[in-house]
Amino acid sequence: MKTKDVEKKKAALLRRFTEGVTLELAKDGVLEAVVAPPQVVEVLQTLKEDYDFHQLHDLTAVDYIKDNQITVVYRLMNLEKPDMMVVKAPLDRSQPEVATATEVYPAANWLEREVYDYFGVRFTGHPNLTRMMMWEGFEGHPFRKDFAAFDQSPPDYDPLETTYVDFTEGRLQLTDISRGNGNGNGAPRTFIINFGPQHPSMHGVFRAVVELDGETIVDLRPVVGYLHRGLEKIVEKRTWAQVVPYTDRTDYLAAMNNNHVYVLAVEKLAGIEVPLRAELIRVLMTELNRIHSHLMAVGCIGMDCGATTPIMYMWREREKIYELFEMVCGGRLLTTYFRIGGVARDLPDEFLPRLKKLLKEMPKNIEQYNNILSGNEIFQMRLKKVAHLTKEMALKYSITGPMLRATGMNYDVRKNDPYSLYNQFDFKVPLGKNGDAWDFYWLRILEMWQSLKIIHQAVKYLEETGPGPVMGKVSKALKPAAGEAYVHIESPKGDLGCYLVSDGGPNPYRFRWRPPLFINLQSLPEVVRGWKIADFIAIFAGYDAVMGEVDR
Amino acid sequence: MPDVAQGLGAYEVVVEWLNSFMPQWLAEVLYRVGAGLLIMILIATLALVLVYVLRKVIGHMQCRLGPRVTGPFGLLQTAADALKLMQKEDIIPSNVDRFIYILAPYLTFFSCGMIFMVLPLSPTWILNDLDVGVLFFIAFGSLAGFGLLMAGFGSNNKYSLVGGMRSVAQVVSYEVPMVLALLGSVMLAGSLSTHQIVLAQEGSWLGFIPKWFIFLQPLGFVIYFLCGLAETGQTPFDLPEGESELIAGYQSEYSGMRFALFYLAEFGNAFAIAAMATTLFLGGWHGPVFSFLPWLWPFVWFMAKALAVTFCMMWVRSTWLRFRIDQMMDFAWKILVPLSLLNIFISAGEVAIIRWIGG
Amino acid sequence: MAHGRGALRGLRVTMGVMLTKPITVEYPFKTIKFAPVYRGGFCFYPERCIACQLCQNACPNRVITVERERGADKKMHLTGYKMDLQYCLYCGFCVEACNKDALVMTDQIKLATYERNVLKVEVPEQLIPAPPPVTAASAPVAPAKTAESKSKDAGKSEVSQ
Repeated sequence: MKTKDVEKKKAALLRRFTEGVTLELAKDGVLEAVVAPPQVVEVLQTLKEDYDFHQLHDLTAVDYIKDNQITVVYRLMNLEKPDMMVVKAPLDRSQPEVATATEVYPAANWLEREVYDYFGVRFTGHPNLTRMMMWEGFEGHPFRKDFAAFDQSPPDYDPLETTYVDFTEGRLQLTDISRGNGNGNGAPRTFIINFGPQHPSMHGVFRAVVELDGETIVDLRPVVGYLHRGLEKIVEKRTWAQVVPYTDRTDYLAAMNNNHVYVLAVEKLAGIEVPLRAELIRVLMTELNRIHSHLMAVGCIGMDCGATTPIMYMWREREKIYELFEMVCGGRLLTTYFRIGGVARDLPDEFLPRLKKLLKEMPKNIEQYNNILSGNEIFQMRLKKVAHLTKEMALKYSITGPMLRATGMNYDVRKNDPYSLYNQFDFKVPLGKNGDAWDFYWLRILEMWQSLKIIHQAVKYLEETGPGPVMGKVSKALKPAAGEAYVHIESPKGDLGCYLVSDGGPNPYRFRWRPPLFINLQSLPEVVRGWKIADFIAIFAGYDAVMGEVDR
Repeated sequence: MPDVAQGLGAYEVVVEWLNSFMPQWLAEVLYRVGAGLLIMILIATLALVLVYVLRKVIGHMQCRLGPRVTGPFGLLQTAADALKLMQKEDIIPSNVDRFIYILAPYLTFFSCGMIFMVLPLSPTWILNDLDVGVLFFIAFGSLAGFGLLMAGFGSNNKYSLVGGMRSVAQVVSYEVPMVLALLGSVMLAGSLSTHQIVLAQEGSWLGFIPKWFIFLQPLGFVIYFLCGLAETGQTPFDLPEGESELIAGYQSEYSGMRFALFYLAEFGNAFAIAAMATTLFLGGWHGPVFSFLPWLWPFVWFMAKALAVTFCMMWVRSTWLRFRIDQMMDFAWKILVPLSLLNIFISAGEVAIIRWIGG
Repeated sequence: MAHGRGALRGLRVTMGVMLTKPITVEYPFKTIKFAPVYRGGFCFYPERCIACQLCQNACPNRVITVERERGADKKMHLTGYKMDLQYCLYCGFCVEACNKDALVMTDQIKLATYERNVLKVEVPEQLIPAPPPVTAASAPVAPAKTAESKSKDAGKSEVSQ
């Protein structure tokens, strides 16, 4: 059925664009269009309007130095079907230039800035084409294969010399700073506060330059990149198996999920079979980790609203989950448990009894959170009807994860594009209605229930299938054939993707992490504009930002 | 023991005694200096104890233990913290408004200390039994808002400024329902003197229900308690220093001893609010007096009641969360003010009934 | 608008928790037992090492340097073993790669130091068995404390708790 659809679409597309577009069907049924650079925006526009590819799923680039090309890869999604489509624009490496896609897909803004930063691709017409992750004044573009200068360090500011550096001037000119002028004396009515990078509720090192009119947020500009470690670049120098510990360190609250997407991508690339038991264990672990991540998200929403106690109760359960992780893999936060072709080791004997004990306690504990936090009228007042994320906005900014479902959009990768064993599990996808901060919060509580349900089933399957191998046949020196693979999973934070390009060597040629939070965060200014400071904090907590993933 | 019924404070007793061997003016001065020192020592001790209790209470409510290591049961933890604060370098940031910045903590602490002057800790221990004691309490309670605004304004920090503005908005708005809620007790007692209000709560109905005003004024007590939380900036109303929003609000730029003064004032105020609740609603120092050390028991009862109210504040603090600024204002003006007006009508009815019964 | 019932239920929860036993483990005085597979500080047994360099190759961050030379018996012999722990991810790949249980991870968690060069550890030369005659002396090396774990049973392959 699917291939027929694809064929039809292919024919229609070819008829439409006679020149400059070549189409081919990738192994996994994703249609790939190679488009000549001048036509990219036109093709994207058509795909969005006539073929329902509403969402720019990902935008990245690959440097094919042998072909003297830098290929910009646009990955489009139709969330309702779901359907994926790849548009590739090969650019000349010496003068890479392509028109910006921000007018078609506003979510392309940061992604294009990132590609500009990494590869030096100039997106003509981009509203603010500055570096995203590297510091200003950085020379060169590190993801180009011929980049060698790794001895640069950020410029030194002598703290005694420069007492006051006004970062809001010039470089971070807010869009319309003068709008408050004219209250008689000519002084601006608004003022600018930097929330972060060091701030108690910026979840790490997020920086929000906020323009305030009294307590009301007039405008906001998110600044990220303070935790940039160049993970995507580092792993290009590692063997395929050695990448796993690095994926832990992106979204460190959901290390198992990160492991999962990476190993799935490599297995897809190299065509590796995974034993059933290993896959079951993976599902079990990712769902445990989802509960853990949601516990932290829910607790942080509470804490950012001023409730210090509930998060302590959640840490109590988190500790139990950590003990389980520690039992199977020796790590607590950074698990490094999954391996290409399976998992590191089988579950120890005492694991399942302890897990069952936790499963028994968990409903009672979630009830306790509901009693102390969800039921509190002040908490409901703080969150209900605060922020209004609409479906259109969510699509515009490519929002995924609980925030997308809060708008009522039924999109969960586990259901819509099942990976691993998820099509064999019975669970529901909780949906919100209003897209307000309360939905961001409440969906996470509901998803914990669903994860518990999945874990129950996984335990049952595990006991039914009995012991077996947990590691498939994988060569020690893995060298997948040249090609590329893309796998996306539902991480607790959203639609987490991993795009791997292999040149047949022992290392990944290009490793692209589609960070859901990085893409979600673009919508922050539009969501919080007009709300109060306290609402901004509550809404931002609802994003559940982990800067390790945003900045990578 | 002086005659309680006459409402004599410590003032007359002590000055009379001092006057027996020194001139009148020196006795007066010495009394005032001594009273001030006493208040400071009292507040400091209370803060040390309350911080420890707060940490322990919140710790246990959060499944934790609280301080355990420094001293037996961690009792010396707060003392160690105080010592640390005193040792710290006195930092004045370069661009602050120096005069205001330096004055602010002292003003806050001063306003907190003045409240202690009218607290009737026991029949004989009231530093100054003013005829308008309750009014005095309210006046100095709202003076604290000045200190916080000055701290916010003088710090040259936007977070501080927002915090200071919030605290003023909060103190001013919650002053209104608080005064209206206190009015009920004042009407019942027929006096603004804290000592007289306590005396009016003597005895019991039917032999076992103590004649505390809380039984006549439950609504008034609840309103007063909530307003008290707001006045002292405790949890549902901790907007001025809301950690997750404003880092530390008005006290962001303070460190060392100046910060300690804010801290002392915060806990002193919390205790003062609790003590006032005890005086006005919980029968003050009334309670069973035993023959063993009879002068001590009223003081013990008073402290026990006040600490119980303080515990409730901590309990709320560990459980609830912060209002948003507009919700906080709504709560004051749309809910508490009408309710406290209603409370005045209720108290008027009660006064009429009591007069009618009592003849 | 709130009736306050939910808020009061919250008060009941906190009071209930206050009256139950806290879950704190008072860390420096009491410690919890780690799982046997816990990935803590390293312990190296030079006499088991066959200088195969598998650990060196498995390490993502090139933390390990195995120095070896061919001995009189045509076999590889260890001459030096160095770890630069400031780059270590504690992923455990080296331990997984080791066939001879020469490198194991212990439950040691006090790994923080004040200086970076303390983290560059190497097995002292006198503990490395001389190439042809293999001595029985055991010499485990942990990053922070070497003397303490020296007395460990050399034949024991599991991580001691």
